[in-house]
Amino acid sequence: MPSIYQHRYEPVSIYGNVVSLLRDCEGRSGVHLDFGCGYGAIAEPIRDELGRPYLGFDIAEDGLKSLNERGFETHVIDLYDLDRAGSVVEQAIGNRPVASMTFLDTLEHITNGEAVLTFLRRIAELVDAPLILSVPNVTHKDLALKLLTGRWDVTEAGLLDHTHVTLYSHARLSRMMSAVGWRQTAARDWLLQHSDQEFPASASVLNHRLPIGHFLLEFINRANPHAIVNQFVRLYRAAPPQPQPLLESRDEPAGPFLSVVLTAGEDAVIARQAILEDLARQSHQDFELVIAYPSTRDPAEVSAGLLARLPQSLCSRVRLAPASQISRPDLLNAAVAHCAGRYFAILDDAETLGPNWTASLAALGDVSPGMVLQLDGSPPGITPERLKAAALPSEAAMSPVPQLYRFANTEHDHFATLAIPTSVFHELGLRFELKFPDGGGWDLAIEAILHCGLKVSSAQGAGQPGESTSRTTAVEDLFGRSGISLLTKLNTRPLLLPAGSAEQLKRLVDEHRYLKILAKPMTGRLLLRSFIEQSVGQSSDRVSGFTEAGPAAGPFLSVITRTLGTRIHTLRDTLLSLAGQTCQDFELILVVHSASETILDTVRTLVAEFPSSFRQRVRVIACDRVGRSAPLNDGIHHSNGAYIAALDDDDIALGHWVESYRQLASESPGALLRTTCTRQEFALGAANDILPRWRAASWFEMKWPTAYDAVAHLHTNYTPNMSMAFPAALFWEDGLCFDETMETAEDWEFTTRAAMLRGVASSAEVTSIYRWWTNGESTLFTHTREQWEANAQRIREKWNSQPILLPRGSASRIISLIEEGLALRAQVADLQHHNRHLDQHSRNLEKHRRDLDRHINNQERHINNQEHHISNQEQHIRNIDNKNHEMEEYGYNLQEHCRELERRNRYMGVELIRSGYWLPWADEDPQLVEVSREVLGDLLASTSWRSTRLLRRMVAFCTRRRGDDPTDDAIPSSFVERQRLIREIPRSTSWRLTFPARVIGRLLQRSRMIGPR
Amino acid sequence: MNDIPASGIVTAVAPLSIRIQSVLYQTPLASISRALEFFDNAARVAGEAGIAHQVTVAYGDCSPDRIIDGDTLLNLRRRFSNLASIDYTFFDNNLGSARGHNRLLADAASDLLVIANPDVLAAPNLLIELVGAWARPGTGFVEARQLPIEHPKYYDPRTGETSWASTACAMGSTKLFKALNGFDADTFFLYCDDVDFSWRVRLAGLKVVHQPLAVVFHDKRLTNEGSWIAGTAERYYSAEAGLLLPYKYSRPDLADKYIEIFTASDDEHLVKAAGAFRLRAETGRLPTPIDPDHTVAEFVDGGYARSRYTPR
Repeated sequence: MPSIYQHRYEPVSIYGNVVSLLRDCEGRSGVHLDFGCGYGAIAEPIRDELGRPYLGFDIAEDGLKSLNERGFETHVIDLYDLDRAGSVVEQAIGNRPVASMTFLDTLEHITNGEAVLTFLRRIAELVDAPLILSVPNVTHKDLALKLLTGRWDVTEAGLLDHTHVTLYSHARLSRMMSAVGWRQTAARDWLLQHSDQEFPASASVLNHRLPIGHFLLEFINRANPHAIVNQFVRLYRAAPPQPQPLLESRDEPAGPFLSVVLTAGEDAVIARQAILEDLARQSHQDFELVIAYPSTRDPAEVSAGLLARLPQSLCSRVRLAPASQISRPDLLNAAVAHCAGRYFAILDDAETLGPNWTASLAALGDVSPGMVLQLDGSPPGITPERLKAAALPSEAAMSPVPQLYRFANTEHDHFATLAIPTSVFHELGLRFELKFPDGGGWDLAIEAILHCGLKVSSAQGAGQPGESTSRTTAVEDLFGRSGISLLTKLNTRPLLLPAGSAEQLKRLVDEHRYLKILAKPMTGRLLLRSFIEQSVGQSSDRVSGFTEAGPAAGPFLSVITRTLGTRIHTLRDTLLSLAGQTCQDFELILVVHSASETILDTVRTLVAEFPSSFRQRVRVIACDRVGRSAPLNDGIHHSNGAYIAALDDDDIALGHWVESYRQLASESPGALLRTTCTRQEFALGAANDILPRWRAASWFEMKWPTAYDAVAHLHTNYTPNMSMAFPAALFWEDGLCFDETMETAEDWEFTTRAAMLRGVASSAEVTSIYRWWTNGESTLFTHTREQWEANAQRIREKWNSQPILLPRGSASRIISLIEEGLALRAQVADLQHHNRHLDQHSRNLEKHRRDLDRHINNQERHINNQEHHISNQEQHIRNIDNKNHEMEEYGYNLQEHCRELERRNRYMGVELIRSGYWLPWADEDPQLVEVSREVLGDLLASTSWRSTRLLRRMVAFCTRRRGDDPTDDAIPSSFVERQRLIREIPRSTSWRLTFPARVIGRLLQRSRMIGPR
Repeated sequence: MNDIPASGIVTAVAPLSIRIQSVLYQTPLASISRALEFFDNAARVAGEAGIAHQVTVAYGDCSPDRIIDGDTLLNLRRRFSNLASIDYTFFDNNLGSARGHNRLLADAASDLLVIANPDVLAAPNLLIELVGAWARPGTGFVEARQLPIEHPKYYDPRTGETSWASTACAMGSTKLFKALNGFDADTFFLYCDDVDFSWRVRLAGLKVVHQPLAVVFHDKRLTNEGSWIAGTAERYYSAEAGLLLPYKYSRPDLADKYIEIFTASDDEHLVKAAGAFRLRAETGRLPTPIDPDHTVAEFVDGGYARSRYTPR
């Protein structure tokens, strides 16, 4: 049966590395001495490849026998008897030259290592041979990580071989070798990412896909350069011993409080003499000066130039640190590597220092040792003015979470306000990133703050002449190239935030929501956001691709259903939805909470109704402890599944609820599994409704996001209980359980804690229905809002009292919240400013409105007056019209009267003319003239006148009166003459003589007129 | 067969014979087997409660190839002993749901007949609760509640009366089915045959009742946005039925309106359904309009009943 130490030689192995180192020493001839040779795995390649005779030395005979059988020379030595061993070796070598020596996998098995190494050195010194040593590394990450959880797993062989009596780290080995007189000249350590100690697979600290494992791996890889060294394989040469204590001292390392780092460019050692003078004037002189310079310069020249300029008091406290490159990160790394102070501070050329700068930092360091120290409370980027404008309490900006953001801007130049523990460089392995040449060193500062926290003092210690007047806002600063790179870096790993961060994050989310409402619509910086999203990718919550967890003894899933046994109809639905699952690889633990035997029997009877294939996987248990968590913990206690999920007695699983969890588990074993839950309102009807009285009252509402957001969950629970399945290892290995003192929200508290440890793999598949009771009995109604709030507050306080671990990508998430918060705050400030303008404008408008009202009133009164006036005028016009009308009527009457008078006048005229009167105006009236003519004609033509003509002639003849006898054919043209004739003819005798005839004539005429008809 | 009336006008239900029938179309055998397991269990529970003295299952297979061979059938019969018989008929033709059920109906001799989808899983008390609801006076056709996605149509919270019953799982007397000549297979191929049947039950003066205590698990899923997932067949045949149903129930105005909308639609299924309707019209294959006074048919927002809420 082969021994556990009988190894075959493989080129790619520890022994391959040993031979490789030996090959590098080719050219030497002679024998090879292998001390503690065991079975001599390297014997053949040394003989066959290097051509050296192989001599094996050991005390164990099995190995020596094996070597002998393979044709190799061996000798028995006891390393606890070095005198005798020396003789044996001497005899064995004889006169042969010695080419090389090995001492493999033996040092850890002996307690007198120092003496044996001294013994080997003596041999090596005599023959001038190199020694190759191989020894296991007890600081391998797998051992360190497991030690965190209290595991120290001694095994038959391997890193913790049960026969190891001494353990070696790099430091211990180096110190011992140096003390004894060995100088290391080459190393080919055997590296193993996955050592033999990487077990059990379910250990969350070993699973780098989980947040806790990821964080710790990053941490340990950075802090321990030998984290993956399984075996130190090193080549040594004999050298003068460097005597030193082999045991670690508990004394703090000596050194000043502060190392002040200055960087010198290629041309100038120090740009400004003023800084040196400021340093010389410091009231607290417990500091050293470390000046980094490019190694291309002559050190003597640099030293001479520097000393010539340094104040005398500083000359004895200067260290020079040559850097291989001239980039700022190179210079800073070189400088800090030389720092002996407990803290280091970096001064830029343009800085100015107050006299109490170092004193203030030292005072702050005394109060909060180990933390990053900062003087001057006004943070860069978020100026007091800006905070004031945004009405944000300044302490909010100083709190741990926003600090992540405030220093994410690498453009800020007040580096001198910071003092960083040197231990972050020497012990935690933080370095200034070479890929951020323009980062100014803020990348390391932020990392240091995340690891050590930040203590801020309002003391003014450092300032800078000529403050930038064009300083951009923090939000805009984040667009800086190095800021983005830093963000990308921060995003690639989980974030460890200090105690108090949970509350800060909640406030961020609160503020964000509040401000979003205030500042709606928000413009935002989509460019930045999309960049961040691309940088982070889609995988912030999804963990995938790591090794399968060990097979579980039970089913894939244990479903725990809590019931009070009072909702049998909903429970029947729940059970049916489980019985209908496409994947039946589950068991159901039905926990009847605080139930009587009767209720327990009712539940058992219900289960017995179901098909046997289902009911045989159901266990009904009773829980009589109080609290909503008690039945969950009891259910877990009875579970056998690899994962555990809760499905309460009024929840409904869609057909692929279990199947989706199994799919997620196969993609992301070990992580919490989250599917998506939808919400449907249910209403309880009236007492006389048909059973079961309740029914669905809404379509499905997507109230919860499809992916787990660790930051958002610090604020509110966005994951209903049934949409999460927990790895059973959380309970059995990580030791978590539901908090039984919680009256509500127990799932939120638990889920968030568990997610910090194991991460969450999310699926957008809708796999369950949360029945949202709009009335009736549910925790929504059985607990008051105050109870819910009190529990939520208690949970947040619990988280806040301890550091929280967030998954990778959270840096972006937090920064995005802060960024949006800042943008929103700025927007709110703008809106408030705008509102004030609007208020003023509104007041002006109001005043203007009042003026206008007054004016309108005046105008209305004026209009009324005018209307009244117009009305009067109209009345007046109407009166005038009436008057006119009357006047017209009167005029008309007058005209009529005139016309009547005129007619009468004419009549009278005519009558007078007919009567022969003379009227003075009659000759002007043609009618009267004509009447005169007619009347005269009638008289002259009358029978009376004509019949008497002869008489008249006779009389005329008789009287001899001469004159014409007027006739009707010779009517005088003169009116007067006619009128005279008209007047005289009726008076004439002729006329009088004929009077009787005329009377008779008239009588005759009348008789004719009245005669018989 | 008992002297059972078309409606459940009985005061005390004697143990009844119940036949469950489903039409298969390329249904996975595992799915059939699971459904049988749950029906077998429901038959056990109903038998123990004295509700059913005999429960049988009849499958009609419209698939291109037989789903269940002789050995498998024997195996199923042996395995599910609470089912008095499991009959299987291979139609060798895709008859559609309505005609398939009618074919099966020809052999039905039970008191009651349950029409069910082949993939529904019966709650243990399914048959008890269906019979309980059917036994209420005047009830003709009883529908089970579907889980996890409950149908949103309205039902009277006190009586359960509703516009129509889904044959995802519904029960009536065999006599009623035969009296109404089963489903209208000439008009409806796959969808809305149950709506039409329900309305004809109501025209016959009987009630259609939703029984929320009778539950079947019908494995329906939601999209990631919480919407209903409709398959190609559902989209086409429900669109086609959406034209035929209003036409049959004397609402040609609605049919014309929908044709116009479908024809102008970008949805190929709607366009195709409109074309199929027009072809029927041209070839004289449209159903004879009934219910001229609109006493039973309800056309509400594209559905066939009032909704308690609007699905997405």
